[in-house]
Amino acid sequence: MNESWWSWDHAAAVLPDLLVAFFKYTLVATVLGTLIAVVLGLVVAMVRRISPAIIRTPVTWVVEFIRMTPLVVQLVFANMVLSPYIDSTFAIGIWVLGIHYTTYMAEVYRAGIDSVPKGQWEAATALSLPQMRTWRAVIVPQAIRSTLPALGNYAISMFKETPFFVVIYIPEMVRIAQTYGGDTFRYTESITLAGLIFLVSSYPTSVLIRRLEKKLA
Amino acid sequence: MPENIAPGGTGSTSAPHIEFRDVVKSFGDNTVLKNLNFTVGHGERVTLIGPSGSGKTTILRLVMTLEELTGGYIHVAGQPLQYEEKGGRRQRVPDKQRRRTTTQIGMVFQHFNLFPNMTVLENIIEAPST
Repeated sequence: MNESWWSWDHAAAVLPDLLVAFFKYTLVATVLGTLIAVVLGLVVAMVRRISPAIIRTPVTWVVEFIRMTPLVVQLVFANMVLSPYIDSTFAIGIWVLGIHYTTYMAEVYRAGIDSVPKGQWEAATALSLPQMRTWRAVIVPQAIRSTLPALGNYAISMFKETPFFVVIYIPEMVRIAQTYGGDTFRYTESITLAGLIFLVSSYPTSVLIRRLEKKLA
Repeated sequence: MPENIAPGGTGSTSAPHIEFRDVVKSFGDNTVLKNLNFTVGHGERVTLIGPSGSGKTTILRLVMTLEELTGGYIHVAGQPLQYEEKGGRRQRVPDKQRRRTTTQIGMVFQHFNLFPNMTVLENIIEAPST
């Protein structure tokens, strides 16, 4: 136990690889996963609200199934089933992450849509607005406003769940940290730095979302 | 039910612009409008007067298709609004046709129901593009 618990040399050695993994995998997965969840979540919420029972029931069943099963299981399962057809494991990971959070976002949108006063629907009907125009110009802009805090939370939560990609062997940040620790027996530096990178990058995101909320309030 | 609406018209000589025929509207077990018949001609001004809960607002909401008819028919400018009689059966009017008819009607709500996400100008000009 002659070695000190922290080595700046090891920290400096692992940092570039961690940063590369962060920008190449963690950030890309979060941004694309959030985009998928934000868009598909709205589609799912609208389908569950306006479609006939023959479509609504299977969609509800699939949404509940995804919500009730863990992300890690979904990642492993999707990778096993889809890898013969899709070359990129990373693409599979992004879609699984995005679709997993789509189900949560859909619930957030549902609550947002429910919070739009009944009078707004009636005003749109009284103006004879077509259904798409009612959604686009009246309901969605008002629903989004009340859903922003929850959407922001899920985006940050998604960001912090990208280390689960380790189960399908994507060389994201935590995997790089673990590999470095395994090679050098210096886990403290690599894992601590990975955690710090998460912290430093989460904070501006939450500030940005809070600012966006204020702007739209 | 408002009792002071003359069945079959209010004295106008022109073709009816709004026509209520045997209109029934119930909310659960409570029947608010029971076989209501009346017509409103072009350019005619009609005032609905009645005690609270007598169905004045319900009549307006039915014309705006904000409430579903329980029975009977409403015609606006000669077009069936919610239901029509086809082959002796009462059938729902397709949404597109219903919207085409309602574009000719306007309503100012008691609490205005302005769109808070739009500017004053946008609130004024918001309308179907057709």
